[in-house]
Amino acid sequence: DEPEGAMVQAEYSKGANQCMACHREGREEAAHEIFLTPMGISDSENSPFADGRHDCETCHGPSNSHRSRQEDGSRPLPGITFNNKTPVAAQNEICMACHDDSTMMHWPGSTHEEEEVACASCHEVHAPRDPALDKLAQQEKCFSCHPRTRSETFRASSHPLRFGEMTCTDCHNPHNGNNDFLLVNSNVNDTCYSCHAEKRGPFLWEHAPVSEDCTLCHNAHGSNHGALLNQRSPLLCQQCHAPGGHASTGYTTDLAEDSFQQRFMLGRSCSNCHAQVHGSNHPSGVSLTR
Amino acid sequence: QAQDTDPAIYSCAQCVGYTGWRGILDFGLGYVSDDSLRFGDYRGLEEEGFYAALDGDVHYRNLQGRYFDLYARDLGYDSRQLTMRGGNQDRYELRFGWQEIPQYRGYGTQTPFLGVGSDNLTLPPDWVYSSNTRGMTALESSLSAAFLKTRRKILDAGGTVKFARNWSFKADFQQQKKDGTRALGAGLYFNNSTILPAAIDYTTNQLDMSLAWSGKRGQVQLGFVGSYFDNGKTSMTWANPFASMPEHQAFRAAMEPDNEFYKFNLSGAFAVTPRIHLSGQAATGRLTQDDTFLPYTINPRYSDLPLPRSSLDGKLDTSTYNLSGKLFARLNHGFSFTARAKLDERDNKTPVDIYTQVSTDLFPTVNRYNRPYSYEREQYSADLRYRAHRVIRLSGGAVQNNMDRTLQAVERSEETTLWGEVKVNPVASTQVRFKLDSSNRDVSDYDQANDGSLPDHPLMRKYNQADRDRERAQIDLDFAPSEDFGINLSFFNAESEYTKSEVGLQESNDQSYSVNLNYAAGKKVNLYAFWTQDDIDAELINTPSTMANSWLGKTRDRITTLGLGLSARINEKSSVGFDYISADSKGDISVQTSNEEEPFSPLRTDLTNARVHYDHEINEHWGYKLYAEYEKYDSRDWIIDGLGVDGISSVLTMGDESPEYEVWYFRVQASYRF
Repeated sequence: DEPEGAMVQAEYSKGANQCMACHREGREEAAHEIFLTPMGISDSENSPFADGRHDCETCHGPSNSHRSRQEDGSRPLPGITFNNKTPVAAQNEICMACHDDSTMMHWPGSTHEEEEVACASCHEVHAPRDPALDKLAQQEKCFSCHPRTRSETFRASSHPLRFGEMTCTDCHNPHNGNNDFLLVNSNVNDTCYSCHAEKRGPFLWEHAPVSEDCTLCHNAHGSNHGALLNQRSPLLCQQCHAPGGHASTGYTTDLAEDSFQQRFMLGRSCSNCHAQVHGSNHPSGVSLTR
Repeated sequence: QAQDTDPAIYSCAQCVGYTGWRGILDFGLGYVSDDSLRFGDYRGLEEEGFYAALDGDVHYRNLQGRYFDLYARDLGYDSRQLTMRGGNQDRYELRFGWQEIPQYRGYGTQTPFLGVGSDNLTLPPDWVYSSNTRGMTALESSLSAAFLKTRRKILDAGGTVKFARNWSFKADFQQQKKDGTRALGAGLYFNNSTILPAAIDYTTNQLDMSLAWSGKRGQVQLGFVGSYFDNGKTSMTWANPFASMPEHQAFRAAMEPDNEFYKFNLSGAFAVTPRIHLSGQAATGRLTQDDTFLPYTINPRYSDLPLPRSSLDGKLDTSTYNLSGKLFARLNHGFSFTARAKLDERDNKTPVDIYTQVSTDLFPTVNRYNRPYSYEREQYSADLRYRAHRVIRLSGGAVQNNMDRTLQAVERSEETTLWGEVKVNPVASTQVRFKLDSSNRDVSDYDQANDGSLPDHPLMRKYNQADRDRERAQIDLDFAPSEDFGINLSFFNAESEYTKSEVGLQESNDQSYSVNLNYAAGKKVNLYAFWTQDDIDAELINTPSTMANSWLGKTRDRITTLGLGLSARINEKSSVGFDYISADSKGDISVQTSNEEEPFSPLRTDLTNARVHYDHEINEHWGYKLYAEYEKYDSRDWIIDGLGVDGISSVLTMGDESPEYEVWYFRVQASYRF
């Protein structure tokens, strides 16, 4: 569809010949690398350079005036610029005119759409490899708006984002509007199980919070404590367990020196014994020790 | 489109037609200065010495839209990655990927057990049994290093076919294999426990298929996911280092059982008008698990106790129904309204039976019913956004989260969240965003589940089922005085108070400050810096009994992260880059009983990482890349430091130590470009 607004009235130039005369290789504003991308394949029926389309101006809008100079020597801007000179909605409308397949079906009304995130904030369509599709470069795009998450990836325990072994889109779909936290699956646990299927069970002896929500105990982005745990045990466990006896004792610095009490707080703490904390399939394993 | 345009006018003589093969291959050597398992974590560079440094990417394009892309990274390391894809961009694509992820799960770990890697751990023939670790006099001579290393190998293969203009079919297969050794606590013998090097042998095969249709006003997708988990080690048997009597000499634990999961899903979206969009998805699936049970105990005296069934026949159905609608109305100014409804259900149909518990493998004790938990989540939300003026946008909304659980203390919880946001753009270069939300969770009567276990203190409220008030605030300032330079300041604060919990988690607070700077001088120089400080606090109350005084536990984690770097193009042939990261954390824990207590020594981690690289092109085809990385890590953790394997008299551990290292990594690569 043609973009709306004033540019409909504007005039198209005579194709990419005009644009590439200035935006050729070696220039500061070179745009020739678009021909290394799927967008630049003119024989492709979906390309902006396909017959019957307007080449660069398919996306940038009618921009003939951009070839001239104004009184102050500057050039008028192209019809659409993919920066803060063009409203985000107008930019995204251009992209969505072609990228309207099923992968984008939940974009309208999604968090990023409603927060007025421009497609071009994350995607670089002129680059031979869009950074949004590169494991390490993609993170930098996400972190530019989610700085705390970058900090979390450097914590003592974290998923291996900073090593490029995982990336944000392994768990999140930035175009999705229907799942909590833009997750790739409908809930937290199903997302975690895609790599941690061994914790899926169902176990004979379930640990109720495990089957409810992994984030009750873990911070998926990173933690100061081992195994991405939100807190150190035994305190983590004692937030929910108070049956009396060793599970409810306040373990102080004095007790850390006590040879009988040490086993409840040092080493792996509660997991010294209750190691099957995600569930046990042993008939005698109700206390999650085997 | 431009049907009225003469295509001949638009033929582009200056457009560059890239055809054929191109790419870059980097090959050379890397050198690691010191052994460090922690430095090798995820990198695969744990040992001092030389490594083959092989990277590259290869591409093919033709003017008809045929393409092939290959990306290879770290092929000479245990963290190698390879991805390929190719096809015709209008018709089909084939994909292939291979990835290995090494991970270390403990540092300085040792064990006296023999048979590490198998599912049967034995002790040396001259082992000296003792009821406490200090009496195990053969321990020191029996110890050998036991690396807690796992390796995940991921194979991906798939393809997409586009046909009949609006239709596409996609199928992807993934196999994840994870093997290695982990530490497993095994506390079966009275007061004693043993930390075992337990073997891991997981395989998960997943098939993901979808058929999609896209039209001018809508899309529909029908999908299937099948995921099959297989554990090559279904049990673990180990010799008891504390006693050698026949009934105590070995124990056995069940490892994670095999399971199967499949799900069908249907997604769709429809633009009722250009201003009204509806989208939704529905999914239904089933998870099953039916591994044969182990006997109640390995102790021959009770091993023939009859089980109620030979396997669990575990079965749970999952379903998700999700509908969202957006109405966008342009009045005088932008106005949009979005409403969503979601239902997520876990219906656990696993049969319930009575199982005898054989305590410490010696005493048949209580009979217990298994408790297959089910839940149902409902979420309803409505958001309103109104651009009152070019410079200001007002937003607000409400979210209702309801949850029903079975077999737990609280049957139903209801949480209402109200939020509001103001976004101001006084000029194009500046944006301020201020968001507040407030939520209140009410739960039905708290009735402790009578599951046969020791009941909790009557005033305990598990925090996921407790009444809670939560307030959150977020402020973001984005300032870009020029196209080259941008500053972002962020503040986030969340405070949760568990209002009716006299025992259990009382409150938790989470606060974060961030500053980000970016400067890009054209395409030649890019500078960045960021600083983040996070503070995470929590308080809990617990008590050893209804008659005893309660105690107060306080935790505080402070993490400070600083990063800065630059990348610059020196000239047409050379570029350089530098990155620096410092991430320090401090974890304070104190537990106050009736007497004032000393806080524990702070938990500390200090990470410093610096990287520099220099790339140079000698001629059209050849060049070289130089890379150096320095990383220093220091950590302190009183929970494990200094214990060794026998530091706890009743627990034979693996002697974990807090990692500490200082490592240089150098890499020299020749680059061949074609």
